[in-house]
Amino acid sequence: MNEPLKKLADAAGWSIAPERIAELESLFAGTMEDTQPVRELLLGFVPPATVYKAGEE
Amino acid sequence: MMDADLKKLTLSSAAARIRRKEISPVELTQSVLQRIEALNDRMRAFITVTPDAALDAARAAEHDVTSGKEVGPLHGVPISLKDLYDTKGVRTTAGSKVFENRVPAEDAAVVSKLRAAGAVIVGKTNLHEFAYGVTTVNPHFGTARNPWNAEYISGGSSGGSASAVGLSLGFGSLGSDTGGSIRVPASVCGVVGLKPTYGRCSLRGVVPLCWSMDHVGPLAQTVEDAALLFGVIAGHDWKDPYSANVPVQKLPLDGNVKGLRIGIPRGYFFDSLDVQVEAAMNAALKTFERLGAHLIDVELKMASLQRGIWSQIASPEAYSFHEELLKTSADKYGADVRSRIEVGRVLLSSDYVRAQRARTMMREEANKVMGSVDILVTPSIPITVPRIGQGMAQRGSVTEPSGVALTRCTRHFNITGQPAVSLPAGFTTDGLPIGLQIAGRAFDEATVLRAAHAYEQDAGWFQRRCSL
Repeated sequence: MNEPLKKLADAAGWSIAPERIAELESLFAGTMEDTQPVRELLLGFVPPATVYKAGEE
Repeated sequence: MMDADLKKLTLSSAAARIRRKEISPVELTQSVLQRIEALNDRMRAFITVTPDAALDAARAAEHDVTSGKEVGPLHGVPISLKDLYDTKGVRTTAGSKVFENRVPAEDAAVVSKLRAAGAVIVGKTNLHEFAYGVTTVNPHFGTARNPWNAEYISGGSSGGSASAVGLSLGFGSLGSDTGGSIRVPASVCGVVGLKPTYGRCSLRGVVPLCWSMDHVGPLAQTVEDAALLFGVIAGHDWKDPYSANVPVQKLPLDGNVKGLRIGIPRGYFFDSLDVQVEAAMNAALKTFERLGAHLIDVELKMASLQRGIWSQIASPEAYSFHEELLKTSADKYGADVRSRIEVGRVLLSSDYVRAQRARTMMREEANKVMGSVDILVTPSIPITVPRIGQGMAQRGSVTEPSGVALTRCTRHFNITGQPAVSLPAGFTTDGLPIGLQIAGRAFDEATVLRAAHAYEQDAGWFQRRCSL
């Protein structure tokens, strides 16, 4: 299994059935690729969005 | 009532004619139920049809009209609900075997509002399982099909609602939208779909996908109909912690867009469009210009991060809701949705917070841009409608998974919470609809709908109906 996925699955107490490993590896890798630009953002002092005010200006 | 007569009616005209006692709510409801009976086996727009309850409600509506009682704006009009709205005594599956026998004890908050306004609910529409997907290829309840060509997708996740409206199986429907799930199906089925501002309509009693990006809203044949439904379901709900206490504006659909400043975010939303979509967008922008609006190029640099921000927020929130259900019922989930949800289990909490911080940046950028324009206009989707089972899509020189392309232009407004509507803007040479998206400032649905109505009435695409 893909090493990062294995580590995270172990940490989450999740044993992935062998027949599902390939699909989940692929989905996990896709998500990591999609989210990489967000990990590279320089966020400085920007706070998290507040869902209670998500639509307000 | 003959099918041809039924298909000429809109929600607004049906409601007006019921008030004038020109149409019987019972006959109207019977006609809609007959069409559902005739078409649903093939089109799979509905998961559950409720003929007895609908006819009871229609008879009560008819009695009220004939006895001169004051009636609500939707009085006696048949409509449907995506099957993730709780309905008292009627099963609410969320499109999953996991909830196959789930029968809520109460109506969702907005369902109560619809009933109070006099709506006749004919049934619960099909959806992508747990609203986590954009095709409504549902392994448990069948694939909801496109009204214009049954070999093509109806979009998702509110595919059954869009298909039902496009097929005149009722005069409107409520959907939900976390990444485009109202606007994508509206676009591909050639109907109008409004995602209101985050917090504008109560989420209480609606099965969640991702609390911080879930929105509920209407799908209908025309902008006027969508505005009518929106006016009924909008408003503060103190029992919903995400509900915003902001007064609902009046919605004057006067056709006037003179002087309106329209932002065109060309850099991302117009990048590598399918040629037919691009032509339709150019024609639509010329229409706005001819109607007196000013077109202004704007830049939303953060838009290219939408996929990463959305996934990093949606996956863990979805997993959080499903964590307990997966322990007992994992084998009841469809394979695609189960895996999508389970990935949320292993994403890092620090990355979730990082995405919420990036979301702040995206919202601030959007607010700044919306300070210089009144609305934004984009394609609803950058590709033509995919066939059922079509894995990859082409737009310009880009080939990518259909699901990625379908949500490219819509997710941004779930992240920022801005209101956005999709409406028809033309047809491809294959006779499939092309959609235009209009987004506005938070809580300014009035301007979004006014601009949409002005374009719709001038362009006239809404008059074209599918042949079924």
